[in-house]
Amino acid sequence: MKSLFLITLRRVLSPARLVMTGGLALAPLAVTSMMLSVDQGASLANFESFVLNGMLAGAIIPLATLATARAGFGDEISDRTLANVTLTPYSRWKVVLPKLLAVTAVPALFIAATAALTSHIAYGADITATRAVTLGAVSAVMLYSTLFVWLDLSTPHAVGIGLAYIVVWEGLFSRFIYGVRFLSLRSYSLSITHGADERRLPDGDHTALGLSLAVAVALVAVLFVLCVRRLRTMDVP
Amino acid sequence: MTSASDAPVIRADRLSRWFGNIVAVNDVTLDVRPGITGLLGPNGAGKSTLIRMIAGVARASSGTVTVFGEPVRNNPPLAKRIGIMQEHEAVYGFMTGRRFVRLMGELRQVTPLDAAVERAIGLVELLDAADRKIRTYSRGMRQRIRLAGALVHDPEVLLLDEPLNGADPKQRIQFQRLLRRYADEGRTIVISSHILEEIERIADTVLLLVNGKLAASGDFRAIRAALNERPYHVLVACDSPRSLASAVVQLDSVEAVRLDADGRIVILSRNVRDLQIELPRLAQQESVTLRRVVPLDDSLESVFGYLVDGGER
Repeated sequence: MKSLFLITLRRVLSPARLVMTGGLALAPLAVTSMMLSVDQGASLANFESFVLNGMLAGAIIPLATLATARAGFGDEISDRTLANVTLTPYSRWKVVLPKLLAVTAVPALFIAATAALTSHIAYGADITATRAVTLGAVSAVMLYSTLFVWLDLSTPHAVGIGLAYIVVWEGLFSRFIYGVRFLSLRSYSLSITHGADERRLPDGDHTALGLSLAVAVALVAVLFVLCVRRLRTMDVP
Repeated sequence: MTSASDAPVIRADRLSRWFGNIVAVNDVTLDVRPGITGLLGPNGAGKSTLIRMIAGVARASSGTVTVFGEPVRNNPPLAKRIGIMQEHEAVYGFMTGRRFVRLMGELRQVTPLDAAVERAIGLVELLDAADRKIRTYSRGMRQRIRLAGALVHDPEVLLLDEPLNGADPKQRIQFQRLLRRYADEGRTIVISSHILEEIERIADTVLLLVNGKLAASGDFRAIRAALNERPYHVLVACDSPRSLASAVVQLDSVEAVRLDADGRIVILSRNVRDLQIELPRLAQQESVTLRRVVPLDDSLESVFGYLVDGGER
Protein backbone atom coordinates (compact mmCIF):
# COMPACT_ATOMS: atom_id res chain seq x y z
CA MET A 1 0.00 0.00 0.00
CA LYS A 2 2.92 2.30 0.65
CA SER A 3 4.08 1.78 -2.95
CA LEU A 4 0.65 2.71 -4.29
CA PHE A 5 0.57 5.80 -2.09
CA LEU A 6 4.02 6.89 -3.26
CA ILE A 7 3.35 6.33 -6.98
CA THR A 8 0.18 8.37 -6.71
CA LEU A 9 1.86 11.04 -4.63
CA ARG A 10 4.52 11.42 -7.28
CA ARG A 11 1.84 12.13 -9.85
CA VAL A 12 0.07 14.57 -7.54
CA LEU A 13 3.35 16.37 -6.98
CA SER A 14 4.05 16.85 -10.68
CA PRO A 15 5.22 20.41 -11.40
CA ALA A 16 2.09 21.27 -13.40
CA ARG A 17 -0.23 20.16 -10.61
CA LEU A 18 1.84 21.87 -7.93
CA VAL A 19 1.76 25.16 -9.84
CA MET A 20 -1.97 24.85 -10.40
CA THR A 21 -2.85 23.86 -6.85
CA GLY A 22 -0.43 26.37 -5.37
CA GLY A 23 -1.68 29.14 -7.66
CA LEU A 24 -5.30 28.43 -6.83
CA ALA A 25 -4.51 28.24 -3.14
CA LEU A 26 -2.81 31.63 -3.21
CA ALA A 27 -5.77 33.37 -4.87
CA PRO A 28 -8.01 33.78 -1.77
CA LEU A 29 -5.02 35.03 0.20
CA ALA A 30 -4.22 37.59 -2.47
CA VAL A 31 -7.83 38.71 -2.84
CA THR A 32 -8.29 39.06 0.93
CA SER A 33 -5.09 41.08 1.22
CA MET A 34 -6.22 43.34 -1.62
CA MET A 35 -9.69 43.76 -0.13
CA LEU A 36 -8.20 44.86 3.16
CA SER A 37 -5.58 47.13 1.62
CA VAL A 38 -8.09 48.90 -0.63
CA ASP A 39 -10.82 49.16 1.95
CA GLN A 40 -9.78 48.91 5.57
CA GLY A 41 -13.40 48.82 6.51
CA ALA A 42 -14.28 45.92 4.26
CA SER A 43 -16.98 44.06 6.07
CA LEU A 44 -16.68 40.48 7.23
CA ALA A 45 -19.93 39.84 5.39
CA ASN A 46 -18.22 40.75 2.11
CA PHE A 47 -15.23 38.57 2.94
CA GLU A 48 -17.44 35.62 3.79
CA SER A 49 -19.66 36.09 0.77
CA PHE A 50 -16.97 36.65 -1.87
CA VAL A 51 -13.92 34.86 -0.55
CA LEU A 52 -15.17 32.00 1.60
CA ASN A 53 -18.48 31.17 -0.07
CA GLY A 54 -17.83 32.25 -3.65
CA MET A 55 -14.14 31.75 -4.19
CA LEU A 56 -12.84 29.16 -1.78
CA ALA A 57 -15.81 26.82 -1.46
CA GLY A 58 -17.32 27.50 -4.88
CA ALA A 59 -14.27 27.49 -7.14
CA ILE A 60 -10.81 27.07 -5.59
CA ILE A 61 -11.42 23.85 -3.67
CA PRO A 62 -13.38 21.99 -6.37
CA LEU A 63 -10.96 23.07 -9.11
CA ALA A 64 -7.84 22.14 -7.12
CA THR A 65 -9.29 18.76 -6.18
CA LEU A 66 -10.49 18.10 -9.73
CA ALA A 67 -6.91 18.60 -10.93
CA THR A 68 -5.29 16.44 -8.29
CA ALA A 69 -7.95 13.70 -8.21
CA ARG A 70 -7.00 12.81 -11.75
CA ALA A 71 -3.65 11.58 -10.40
CA GLY A 72 -5.54 8.86 -8.55
CA PHE A 73 -6.80 6.78 -11.44
CA GLY A 74 -7.39 9.05 -14.44
CA ASP A 75 -3.72 9.36 -15.34
CA GLU A 76 -3.18 5.62 -15.00
CA ILE A 77 -6.18 4.88 -17.18
CA SER A 78 -4.82 7.28 -19.81
CA ASP A 79 -1.27 5.90 -19.85
CA ARG A 80 -2.46 2.33 -19.32
CA THR A 81 -0.40 1.75 -16.19
CA LEU A 82 -3.48 0.93 -14.12
CA ALA A 83 -3.07 -2.79 -14.86
CA ASN A 84 0.26 -2.67 -13.01
CA VAL A 85 -1.49 -1.79 -9.78
CA THR A 86 -4.66 -3.82 -10.21
CA LEU A 87 -3.02 -7.13 -11.16
CA THR A 88 -1.87 -7.49 -7.59
CA PRO A 89 -2.86 -9.72 -4.69
CA TYR A 90 -4.32 -6.71 -2.88
CA SER A 91 -8.06 -6.37 -2.35
CA ARG A 92 -9.49 -3.54 -4.36
CA TRP A 93 -10.12 -1.35 -1.31
CA LYS A 94 -6.42 -1.56 -0.56
CA VAL A 95 -5.76 -0.14 -4.01
CA VAL A 96 -8.31 2.68 -3.68
CA LEU A 97 -7.45 3.78 -0.13
CA PRO A 98 -3.77 4.78 -0.59
CA LYS A 99 -4.59 6.52 -3.84
CA LEU A 100 -7.42 8.45 -2.26
CA LEU A 101 -5.19 9.43 0.65
CA ALA A 102 -2.49 10.67 -1.72
CA VAL A 103 -4.81 12.76 -3.88
CA THR A 104 -6.51 14.22 -0.81
CA ALA A 105 -3.42 14.94 1.28
CA VAL A 106 -1.73 17.41 -1.05
CA PRO A 107 -4.67 19.73 -1.82
CA ALA A 108 -5.76 19.41 1.81
CA LEU A 109 -2.41 20.82 2.92
CA PHE A 110 -2.53 23.69 0.43
CA ILE A 111 -6.17 24.50 1.13
CA ALA A 112 -5.79 24.19 4.89
CA ALA A 113 -2.86 26.59 4.74
CA THR A 114 -4.67 29.16 2.63
CA ALA A 115 -7.92 28.84 4.60
CA ALA A 116 -6.07 29.28 7.88
CA LEU A 117 -3.98 32.23 6.68
CA THR A 118 -6.86 33.97 4.92
CA SER A 119 -9.24 33.68 7.86
CA HIS A 120 -6.45 34.60 10.27
CA ILE A 121 -5.97 37.87 8.37
CA ALA A 122 -9.67 38.54 7.86
CA TYR A 123 -10.82 37.70 11.38
CA GLY A 124 -7.88 39.36 13.10
CA ALA A 125 -6.28 36.23 14.57
CA ASP A 126 -9.55 34.85 15.90
CA ILE A 127 -8.52 31.23 16.57
CA THR A 128 -12.06 29.85 16.71
CA ALA A 129 -12.99 31.41 13.38
CA THR A 130 -9.74 30.32 11.78
CA ARG A 131 -10.24 26.77 13.00
CA ALA A 132 -13.84 26.70 11.74
CA VAL A 133 -12.94 27.92 8.24
CA THR A 134 -10.03 25.47 8.02
CA LEU A 135 -12.21 22.57 9.16
CA GLY A 136 -14.87 23.42 6.58
CA ALA A 137 -12.29 23.77 3.82
CA VAL A 138 -10.57 20.48 4.61
CA SER A 139 -13.97 18.74 4.73
CA ALA A 140 -14.70 20.13 1.29
CA VAL A 141 -11.36 18.81 -0.03
CA MET A 142 -12.16 15.32 1.23
CA LEU A 143 -15.66 15.36 -0.24
CA TYR A 144 -14.66 16.72 -3.63
CA SER A 145 -11.57 14.49 -3.89
CA THR A 146 -13.57 11.32 -3.29
CA LEU A 147 -16.25 12.43 -5.73
CA PHE A 148 -13.77 13.25 -8.49
CA VAL A 149 -11.73 10.06 -7.97
CA TRP A 150 -14.94 8.08 -8.45
CA LEU A 151 -15.81 10.19 -11.49
CA ASP A 152 -12.39 9.46 -12.99
CA LEU A 153 -12.97 5.76 -12.58
CA SER A 154 -16.44 5.98 -14.05
CA THR A 155 -16.06 8.03 -17.20
CA PRO A 156 -13.35 9.12 -19.63
CA HIS A 157 -15.00 12.57 -19.61
CA ALA A 158 -14.44 13.13 -15.92
CA VAL A 159 -12.78 16.54 -16.30
CA GLY A 160 -15.58 17.95 -18.48
CA ILE A 161 -18.32 16.54 -16.29
CA GLY A 162 -16.46 17.71 -13.18
CA LEU A 163 -16.19 21.25 -14.52
CA ALA A 164 -19.86 21.28 -15.50
CA TYR A 165 -20.75 20.01 -12.03
CA ILE A 166 -18.70 22.75 -10.36
CA VAL A 167 -20.17 25.55 -12.45
CA VAL A 168 -23.76 24.42 -12.89
CA TRP A 169 -24.57 22.38 -9.80
CA GLU A 170 -22.39 23.88 -7.12
CA GLY A 171 -22.11 27.37 -8.63
CA LEU A 172 -25.68 28.00 -9.73
CA PHE A 173 -28.25 25.46 -8.61
CA SER A 174 -27.07 25.01 -5.03
CA ARG A 175 -27.08 28.77 -4.46
CA PHE A 176 -30.34 29.69 -6.04
CA ILE A 177 -32.60 26.67 -5.84
CA TYR A 178 -33.86 25.79 -2.41
CA GLY A 179 -33.40 22.13 -1.58
CA VAL A 180 -30.43 21.59 -3.83
CA ARG A 181 -28.21 22.53 -0.89
CA PHE A 182 -29.01 19.15 0.59
CA LEU A 183 -27.25 17.64 -2.42
CA SER A 184 -24.41 20.14 -2.52
CA LEU A 185 -20.94 19.39 -1.20
CA ARG A 186 -20.26 23.11 -0.99
CA SER A 187 -23.27 23.66 1.25
CA TYR A 188 -22.21 20.93 3.66
CA SER A 189 -18.68 22.31 3.93
CA LEU A 190 -20.05 25.81 4.62
CA SER A 191 -22.43 24.36 7.19
CA ILE A 192 -19.47 22.72 8.92
CA THR A 193 -17.69 26.09 9.07
CA HIS A 194 -20.81 27.76 10.44
CA GLY A 195 -21.44 24.92 12.87
CA ALA A 196 -17.90 25.12 14.24
CA ASP A 197 -18.25 28.87 14.77
CA GLU A 198 -21.81 30.14 14.53
CA ARG A 199 -20.65 33.76 14.20
CA ARG A 200 -19.32 32.90 10.76
CA LEU A 201 -21.46 32.82 7.61
CA PRO A 202 -24.54 33.83 9.60
CA ASP A 203 -26.65 34.60 6.53
CA GLY A 204 -26.65 31.12 5.08
CA ASP A 205 -29.35 28.49 5.37
CA HIS A 206 -27.19 25.94 7.15
CA THR A 207 -27.59 22.36 8.16
CA ALA A 208 -26.71 21.51 11.77
CA LEU A 209 -23.05 20.72 12.46
CA GLY A 210 -23.68 17.18 13.62
CA LEU A 211 -25.82 16.37 10.61
CA SER A 212 -23.35 18.04 8.23
CA LEU A 213 -20.43 16.05 9.62
CA ALA A 214 -22.46 12.83 9.53
CA VAL A 215 -23.51 13.45 5.92
CA ALA A 216 -19.93 14.33 4.94
CA VAL A 217 -18.57 11.13 6.48
CA ALA A 218 -21.37 9.08 4.91
CA LEU A 219 -20.79 10.63 1.48
CA VAL A 220 -17.05 9.93 1.62
CA ALA A 221 -17.79 6.34 2.69
CA VAL A 222 -20.40 5.80 -0.05
CA LEU A 223 -18.14 7.27 -2.74
CA PHE A 224 -15.24 5.15 -1.48
CA VAL A 225 -17.37 2.01 -1.77
CA LEU A 226 -18.45 3.09 -5.26
CA CYS A 227 -14.78 3.49 -6.25
CA VAL A 228 -13.97 -0.01 -4.97
CA ARG A 229 -17.00 -1.44 -6.75
CA ARG A 230 -16.13 0.33 -9.98
CA LEU A 231 -12.54 -0.92 -9.85
CA ARG A 232 -13.85 -4.46 -9.46
CA THR A 233 -16.24 -4.31 -12.41
CA MET A 234 -14.47 -2.08 -14.92
CA ASP A 235 -12.23 -3.11 -17.78
CA VAL A 236 -8.70 -2.12 -16.87
CA PRO A 237 -7.05 -0.68 -19.96
CA MET B 1 5.54 -24.98 -9.60
CA THR B 2 2.81 -26.36 -11.83
CA SER B 3 2.79 -30.10 -11.98
CA ALA B 4 3.78 -31.73 -15.19
CA SER B 5 0.32 -33.20 -15.55
CA ASP B 6 -1.61 -32.58 -18.71
CA ALA B 7 -4.51 -30.89 -16.98
CA PRO B 8 -5.52 -27.61 -18.57
CA VAL B 9 -4.29 -24.62 -16.63
CA ILE B 10 -6.39 -22.10 -18.52
CA ARG B 11 -9.95 -22.92 -19.57
CA ALA B 12 -12.28 -20.70 -21.51
CA ASP B 13 -15.83 -21.84 -22.04
CA ARG B 14 -17.96 -20.15 -24.70
CA LEU B 15 -16.16 -16.89 -24.00
CA SER B 16 -17.41 -13.81 -25.82
CA ARG B 17 -16.78 -10.13 -25.58
CA TRP B 18 -18.45 -7.42 -27.55
CA PHE B 19 -18.09 -3.67 -27.54
CA GLY B 20 -21.39 -2.21 -28.73
CA ASN B 21 -22.00 -3.82 -32.11
CA ILE B 22 -18.42 -5.02 -32.47
CA VAL B 23 -17.74 -8.61 -31.49
CA ALA B 24 -14.12 -8.84 -30.37
CA VAL B 25 -14.19 -12.43 -29.13
CA ASN B 26 -16.92 -14.76 -30.28
CA ASP B 27 -17.88 -17.94 -28.44
CA VAL B 28 -14.33 -19.16 -27.85
CA THR B 29 -13.82 -22.43 -26.01
CA LEU B 30 -10.25 -23.49 -25.35
CA ASP B 31 -7.92 -25.30 -22.99
CA VAL B 32 -4.32 -24.29 -22.46
CA ARG B 33 -1.87 -26.72 -20.90
CA PRO B 34 1.66 -26.21 -19.58
CA GLY B 35 4.13 -25.33 -22.31
CA ILE B 36 4.15 -22.55 -24.87
CA THR B 37 0.89 -21.82 -26.64
CA GLY B 38 0.92 -19.38 -29.50
CA LEU B 39 -2.12 -17.19 -30.00
CA LEU B 40 -2.03 -16.34 -33.66
CA GLY B 41 -4.24 -14.08 -35.68
CA PRO B 42 -4.25 -10.96 -37.82
CA ASN B 43 -4.50 -7.51 -36.27
CA GLY B 44 -7.96 -6.97 -34.84
CA ALA B 45 -8.64 -10.68 -34.48
CA GLY B 46 -9.35 -10.35 -30.75
CA LYS B 47 -6.04 -11.68 -29.39
CA SER B 48 -5.45 -8.83 -26.94
CA THR B 49 -9.03 -8.94 -25.68
CA LEU B 50 -8.77 -12.69 -25.15
CA ILE B 51 -5.47 -12.34 -23.26
CA ARG B 52 -6.92 -9.54 -21.16
CA MET B 53 -9.94 -11.66 -20.29
CA ILE B 54 -7.67 -14.57 -19.32
CA ALA B 55 -5.72 -12.19 -17.06
CA GLY B 56 -8.95 -10.92 -15.53
CA VAL B 57 -8.46 -7.26 -16.45
CA ALA B 58 -11.29 -7.31 -19.00
CA ARG B 59 -14.67 -8.81 -18.29
CA ALA B 60 -16.43 -11.30 -20.50
CA SER B 61 -19.77 -10.40 -22.05
CA SER B 62 -20.68 -14.06 -21.77
CA GLY B 63 -18.95 -17.33 -20.98
CA THR B 64 -16.37 -18.12 -18.34
CA VAL B 65 -12.61 -18.25 -18.01
CA THR B 66 -10.70 -19.98 -15.24
CA VAL B 67 -7.02 -20.29 -14.37
CA PHE B 68 -6.05 -23.21 -12.12
CA GLY B 69 -9.78 -23.88 -11.87
CA GLU B 70 -10.48 -20.49 -10.30
CA PRO B 71 -12.39 -17.57 -11.84
CA VAL B 72 -9.99 -14.82 -12.80
CA ARG B 73 -12.16 -11.76 -12.25
CA ASN B 74 -11.97 -10.19 -8.79
CA ASN B 75 -9.60 -12.85 -7.58
CA PRO B 76 -6.60 -10.87 -6.26
CA PRO B 77 -4.72 -13.89 -4.82
CA LEU B 78 -4.53 -15.34 -8.34
CA ALA B 79 -2.44 -12.32 -9.40
CA LYS B 80 0.54 -13.85 -7.60
CA ARG B 81 0.44 -16.79 -10.02
CA ILE B 82 -0.04 -14.84 -13.25
CA GLY B 83 2.38 -12.57 -15.06
CA ILE B 84 1.15 -10.43 -17.90
CA MET B 85 2.85 -8.22 -20.43
CA GLN B 86 0.25 -6.29 -22.36
CA GLU B 87 0.75 -5.05 -25.88
CA HIS B 88 0.71 -1.39 -24.92
CA GLU B 89 3.62 0.00 -23.01
CA ALA B 90 2.67 0.53 -19.41
CA VAL B 91 5.85 1.73 -17.77
CA TYR B 92 6.77 4.72 -15.68
CA GLY B 93 9.32 6.64 -17.72
CA PHE B 94 10.60 8.53 -14.69
CA MET B 95 11.69 5.34 -12.94
CA THR B 96 14.89 3.43 -13.45
CA GLY B 97 14.52 -0.07 -14.80
CA ARG B 98 15.48 -1.53 -11.42
CA ARG B 99 12.98 0.65 -9.56
CA PHE B 100 10.22 -0.41 -11.96
CA VAL B 101 10.90 -4.11 -11.48
CA ARG B 102 11.19 -3.57 -7.74
CA LEU B 103 7.82 -1.82 -7.73
CA MET B 104 6.25 -4.71 -9.63
CA GLY B 105 7.73 -7.06 -7.01
CA GLU B 106 6.47 -4.94 -4.11
CA LEU B 107 3.00 -4.83 -5.57
CA ARG B 108 3.00 -8.61 -5.86
CA GLN B 109 4.34 -9.07 -2.34
CA VAL B 110 7.52 -10.83 -3.46
CA THR B 111 9.98 -11.92 -0.78
CA PRO B 112 12.94 -11.72 -0.69
CA LEU B 113 12.55 -8.78 -3.01
CA ASP B 114 16.15 -7.79 -3.77
CA ALA B 115 17.11 -11.24 -5.02
CA ALA B 116 13.94 -11.52 -7.10
CA VAL B 117 14.56 -8.14 -8.74
CA GLU B 118 18.14 -8.99 -9.66
CA ARG B 119 17.10 -12.40 -10.97
CA ALA B 120 14.32 -10.94 -13.16
CA ILE B 121 16.55 -8.21 -14.60
CA GLY B 122 19.28 -10.80 -15.16
CA LEU B 123 16.86 -13.04 -17.03
CA VAL B 124 16.20 -10.31 -19.58
CA GLU B 125 19.92 -9.43 -19.64
CA LEU B 126 19.43 -5.81 -18.71
CA LEU B 127 21.58 -5.56 -15.58
CA ASP B 128 23.95 -3.08 -17.21
CA ALA B 129 21.17 -0.61 -17.95
CA ALA B 130 19.05 -1.27 -14.87
CA ASP B 131 19.91 2.03 -13.21
CA ARG B 132 19.02 4.16 -16.21
CA LYS B 133 15.67 5.91 -16.46
CA ILE B 134 13.21 3.90 -18.54
CA ARG B 135 12.50 6.93 -20.70
CA THR B 136 16.06 6.63 -22.05
CA TYR B 137 15.55 2.99 -23.10
CA SER B 138 15.10 1.85 -26.67
CA ARG B 139 11.82 0.15 -27.51
CA GLY B 140 13.41 -3.27 -27.28
CA MET B 141 14.85 -2.45 -23.85
CA ARG B 142 11.48 -1.24 -22.64
CA GLN B 143 9.95 -4.52 -23.77
CA ARG B 144 12.62 -6.40 -21.83
CA ILE B 145 12.17 -4.42 -18.63
CA ARG B 146 8.42 -4.95 -18.89
CA LEU B 147 9.09 -8.66 -19.25
CA ALA B 148 11.29 -8.51 -16.14
CA GLY B 149 8.37 -6.83 -14.36
CA ALA B 150 6.10 -9.66 -15.43
CA LEU B 151 8.60 -12.28 -14.27
CA VAL B 152 9.67 -10.82 -10.94
CA HIS B 153 7.13 -12.79 -8.92
CA ASP B 154 8.07 -16.00 -10.71
CA PRO B 155 4.59 -16.62 -12.13
CA GLU B 156 3.29 -20.03 -13.10
CA VAL B 157 1.27 -18.56 -15.96
CA LEU B 158 2.77 -16.00 -18.29
CA LEU B 159 0.56 -14.06 -20.71
CA LEU B 160 2.50 -12.13 -23.35
CA ASP B 161 0.73 -9.93 -25.87
CA GLU B 162 2.90 -9.22 -28.90
CA PRO B 163 6.04 -9.24 -26.75
CA LEU B 164 8.49 -9.24 -29.64
CA ASN B 165 7.43 -5.89 -31.07
CA GLY B 166 10.54 -3.74 -31.26
CA ALA B 167 12.94 -6.57 -30.44
CA ASP B 168 16.01 -7.07 -32.63
CA PRO B 169 17.01 -10.53 -33.91
CA LYS B 170 19.44 -11.12 -31.03
CA GLN B 171 16.80 -10.19 -28.48
CA ARG B 172 14.31 -12.49 -30.21
CA ILE B 173 16.66 -15.42 -29.83
CA GLN B 174 17.30 -14.59 -26.16
CA PHE B 175 13.60 -14.28 -25.65
CA GLN B 176 12.88 -17.63 -27.27
CA ARG B 177 15.53 -19.28 -25.11
CA LEU B 178 14.05 -17.75 -21.98
CA LEU B 179 10.52 -18.85 -22.81
CA ARG B 180 11.70 -22.35 -23.66
CA ARG B 181 13.44 -22.60 -20.30
CA TYR B 182 10.31 -21.43 -18.52
CA ALA B 183 8.16 -23.90 -20.44
CA ASP B 184 10.56 -26.73 -19.61
CA GLU B 185 10.05 -25.92 -15.93
CA GLY B 186 6.37 -26.77 -16.39
CA ARG B 187 4.98 -23.26 -16.65
CA THR B 188 2.15 -22.21 -18.91
CA ILE B 189 2.96 -19.52 -21.43
CA VAL B 190 0.54 -17.88 -23.85
CA ILE B 191 2.18 -15.67 -26.41
CA SER B 192 0.26 -13.73 -29.04
CA SER B 193 1.54 -12.56 -32.38
CA HIS B 194 0.29 -11.75 -35.84
CA ILE B 195 3.51 -13.10 -37.34
CA LEU B 196 3.17 -16.73 -38.37
CA GLU B 197 6.88 -17.56 -38.44
CA GLU B 198 7.46 -16.02 -35.02
CA ILE B 199 4.87 -18.29 -33.41
CA GLU B 200 6.08 -21.28 -35.40
CA ARG B 201 9.55 -20.93 -33.90
CA ILE B 202 8.41 -20.53 -30.31
CA ALA B 203 5.12 -22.32 -29.70
CA ASP B 204 4.37 -25.97 -29.08
CA THR B 205 0.69 -25.55 -29.83
CA VAL B 206 -1.25 -22.87 -31.59
CA LEU B 207 -4.61 -21.19 -31.16
CA LEU B 208 -5.64 -19.45 -34.33
CA LEU B 209 -8.03 -16.57 -33.84
CA VAL B 210 -9.75 -14.89 -36.79
CA ASN B 211 -12.50 -12.29 -36.45
CA GLY B 212 -12.86 -13.19 -32.80
CA LYS B 213 -13.44 -16.87 -33.52
CA LEU B 214 -11.16 -19.76 -32.78
CA ALA B 215 -10.41 -20.90 -36.33
CA ALA B 216 -8.01 -23.71 -35.54
CA SER B 217 -6.09 -25.08 -32.61
CA GLY B 218 -3.60 -27.77 -31.88
CA ASP B 219 -0.23 -28.84 -33.15
CA PHE B 220 1.49 -26.30 -35.36
CA ARG B 221 2.47 -28.88 -37.97
CA ALA B 222 -1.17 -29.71 -38.70
CA ILE B 223 -1.94 -26.05 -39.18
CA ARG B 224 1.11 -25.55 -41.33
CA ALA B 225 0.06 -28.50 -43.50
CA ALA B 226 -3.36 -26.97 -43.91
CA LEU B 227 -1.70 -23.72 -44.92
CA ASN B 228 0.48 -25.45 -47.50
CA GLU B 229 -2.56 -27.06 -49.07
CA ARG B 230 -4.51 -23.86 -49.48
CA PRO B 231 -5.07 -22.64 -53.03
CA TYR B 232 -2.99 -19.68 -54.16
CA HIS B 233 -3.64 -17.33 -57.05
CA VAL B 234 -0.50 -16.36 -58.90
CA LEU B 235 -0.39 -13.67 -61.58
CA VAL B 236 2.07 -14.17 -64.42
CA ALA B 237 2.93 -11.53 -67.03
CA CYS B 238 4.91 -12.76 -70.05
CA ASP B 239 5.39 -12.12 -73.77
CA SER B 240 3.35 -15.12 -74.91
CA PRO B 241 0.56 -15.77 -72.42
CA ARG B 242 -1.52 -18.18 -74.51
CA SER B 243 1.30 -20.64 -75.18
CA LEU B 244 2.50 -20.51 -71.56
CA ALA B 245 -1.07 -20.93 -70.26
CA SER B 246 -1.64 -24.06 -72.35
CA ALA B 247 1.62 -25.54 -71.03
CA VAL B 248 1.04 -24.51 -67.42
CA VAL B 249 -2.40 -26.11 -67.25
CA GLN B 250 -0.76 -29.52 -67.78
CA LEU B 251 1.18 -29.23 -64.50
CA ASP B 252 0.09 -31.35 -61.54
CA SER B 253 0.54 -28.39 -59.19
CA VAL B 254 -1.97 -26.30 -61.15
CA GLU B 255 -5.72 -26.52 -60.64
CA ALA B 256 -6.91 -23.87 -63.08
CA VAL B 257 -5.62 -21.23 -65.44
CA ARG B 258 -7.32 -18.18 -66.93
CA LEU B 259 -6.28 -15.13 -68.89
CA ASP B 260 -7.34 -11.75 -67.48
CA ALA B 261 -8.44 -8.71 -69.52
CA ASP B 262 -4.85 -7.43 -69.75
CA GLY B 263 -3.62 -10.68 -71.22
CA ARG B 264 -1.93 -11.86 -68.07
CA ILE B 265 -2.20 -15.41 -66.75
CA VAL B 266 -3.90 -16.08 -63.40
CA ILE B 267 -2.93 -19.52 -62.07
CA LEU B 268 -4.73 -21.30 -59.26
CA SER B 269 -2.39 -23.70 -57.51
CA ARG B 270 -2.53 -25.82 -54.37
CA ASN B 271 1.19 -26.46 -54.42
CA VAL B 272 3.02 -23.21 -54.83
CA ARG B 273 6.36 -24.73 -53.93
CA ASP B 274 6.25 -27.03 -56.97
CA LEU B 275 4.87 -24.25 -59.15
CA GLN B 276 7.82 -22.01 -58.19
CA ILE B 277 10.20 -24.69 -59.49
CA GLU B 278 8.26 -25.71 -62.56
CA LEU B 279 7.19 -22.33 -63.93
CA PRO B 280 10.65 -21.01 -64.94
CA ARG B 281 11.57 -24.39 -66.42
CA LEU B 282 8.36 -24.42 -68.46
CA ALA B 283 8.88 -20.85 -69.66
CA GLN B 284 12.37 -21.72 -70.85
CA GLN B 285 11.06 -24.82 -72.57
CA GLU B 286 8.34 -22.81 -74.39
CA SER B 287 10.77 -19.93 -75.12
CA VAL B 288 8.57 -17.52 -73.21
CA THR B 289 10.01 -14.52 -71.38
CA LEU B 290 8.55 -14.07 -67.87
CA ARG B 291 8.09 -10.42 -66.95
CA ARG B 292 6.35 -10.67 -63.58
CA VAL B 293 5.25 -13.41 -61.20
CA VAL B 294 3.14 -12.11 -58.30
CA PRO B 295 1.26 -14.06 -55.60
CA LEU B 296 -2.18 -12.45 -55.39
CA ASP B 297 -3.33 -13.63 -51.99
CA ASP B 298 -0.27 -14.00 -49.85
CA SER B 299 -1.39 -11.64 -47.12
CA LEU B 300 -1.75 -12.96 -43.62
CA GLU B 301 -5.44 -12.11 -43.66
CA SER B 302 -5.97 -14.34 -46.70
CA VAL B 303 -4.07 -17.15 -44.99
CA PHE B 304 -6.22 -16.86 -41.89
CA GLY B 305 -9.32 -16.41 -44.00
CA TYR B 306 -8.59 -19.63 -45.79
CA LEU B 307 -8.27 -21.51 -42.53
CA VAL B 308 -11.58 -20.11 -41.29
CA ASP B 309 -13.38 -20.99 -44.52
CA GLY B 310 -11.66 -24.34 -44.59
CA GLY B 311 -12.79 -25.01 -41.05
CA GLU B 312 -16.37 -24.26 -42.00
CA ARG B 313 -16.40 -26.44 -45.06
